[in-house]
Amino acid sequence: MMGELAQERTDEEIALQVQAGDMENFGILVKRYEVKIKRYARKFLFGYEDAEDMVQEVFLKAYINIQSFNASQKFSSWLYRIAHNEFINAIKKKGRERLSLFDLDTLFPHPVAKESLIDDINSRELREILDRILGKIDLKYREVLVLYCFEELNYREIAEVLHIPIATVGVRIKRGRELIKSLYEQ
Amino acid sequence: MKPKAYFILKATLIVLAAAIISLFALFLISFVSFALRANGILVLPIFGFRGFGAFLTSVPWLLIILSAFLIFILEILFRHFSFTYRRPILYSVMGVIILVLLGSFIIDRTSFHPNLFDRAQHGRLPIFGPVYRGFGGLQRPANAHFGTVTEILEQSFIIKNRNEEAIKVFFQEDLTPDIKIDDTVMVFGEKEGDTVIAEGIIKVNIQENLKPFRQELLPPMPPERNR
Repeated sequence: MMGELAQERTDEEIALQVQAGDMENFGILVKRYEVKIKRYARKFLFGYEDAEDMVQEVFLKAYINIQSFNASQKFSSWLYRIAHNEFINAIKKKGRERLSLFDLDTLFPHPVAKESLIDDINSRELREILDRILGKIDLKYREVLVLYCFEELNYREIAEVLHIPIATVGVRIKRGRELIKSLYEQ
Repeated sequence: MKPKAYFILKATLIVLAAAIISLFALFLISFVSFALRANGILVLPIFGFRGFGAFLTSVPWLLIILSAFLIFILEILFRHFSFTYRRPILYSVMGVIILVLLGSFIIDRTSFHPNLFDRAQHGRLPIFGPVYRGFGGLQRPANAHFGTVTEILEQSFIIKNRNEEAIKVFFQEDLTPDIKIDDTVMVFGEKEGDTVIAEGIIKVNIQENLKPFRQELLPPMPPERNR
């Protein structure tokens, strides 16, 4: 009965209850997102042994900061944002990949690419290809491709997670797709 | 779990910091604009290559660099908000620059800075007093001489500056200025003793909000004659 009730409630409604002091409900959110965040960690932190251990840290941060969640926004974007920050910090700590402080893609305006134009990248076949060559893709393209292809977030949601303009998401996905093609053809 | 008040306080502090930095940037940029206008620096480029050189050396670069730094900090603070990070950096930076310049332009058109300058001159302005006395005051551009015309001769005229010093200005025929006695002029040229060979002469139109400032630079205006 309780399980059915939980199924009916949205993430945002549950988060509101956690904010009101009903801590047990946080467990429902963890259950809903554990697999997704683990997958995100595995793909984003490709080749990092402790990627899955960081998931625990993500949920801990989400719990500590739950009062900062604004229920008018999507809980998933908020949680992925925490995960993104956590993973970026881990990459910085390990120093194995180069993180650019400034990205020209976010500086200038770009025409917003239609999402339907890159539907093919979402196909199972391309997802499999991407899975095989993840380690060879530059971090800034890898993160948008993982969020788009594996986590199935749309441009707007990805923009919210990464705090970048929607048009930049489109540009990175387009370039990432070209990169996959060239790497695959090699 | 961190309490809600913690996040409210954090957001409030960011907004407060942005507001304080915005006000300081407005003050600084409008002050730079005021100092450039009041010291006659803005008109220097019309005196040709040498005038442009004098313009470059007279501009308060330190204040301009500080203003640019404040705009950079503002941009970083605004990046916390979705209305900024959802847009390209170019748009938000341009937005910040336009808003700050527009605000500064409006402030510069008021008597805000001349009043503060006046207070600074009378030692009634703490903290910013030295700034006004330094940049806004008597740091006039090199080779620029202000004064009131007291006598007009064949190929020269005489001006009197704020120190009651008479300066004889020689000019070439092609520079023959359209001036009359009691006009306020700015002469650009090297000074030797009490004479200046003019490379450029312009009549200064004292804008309403620069009058208190000009009183410090120029001799008192002659009483209006009955017509």
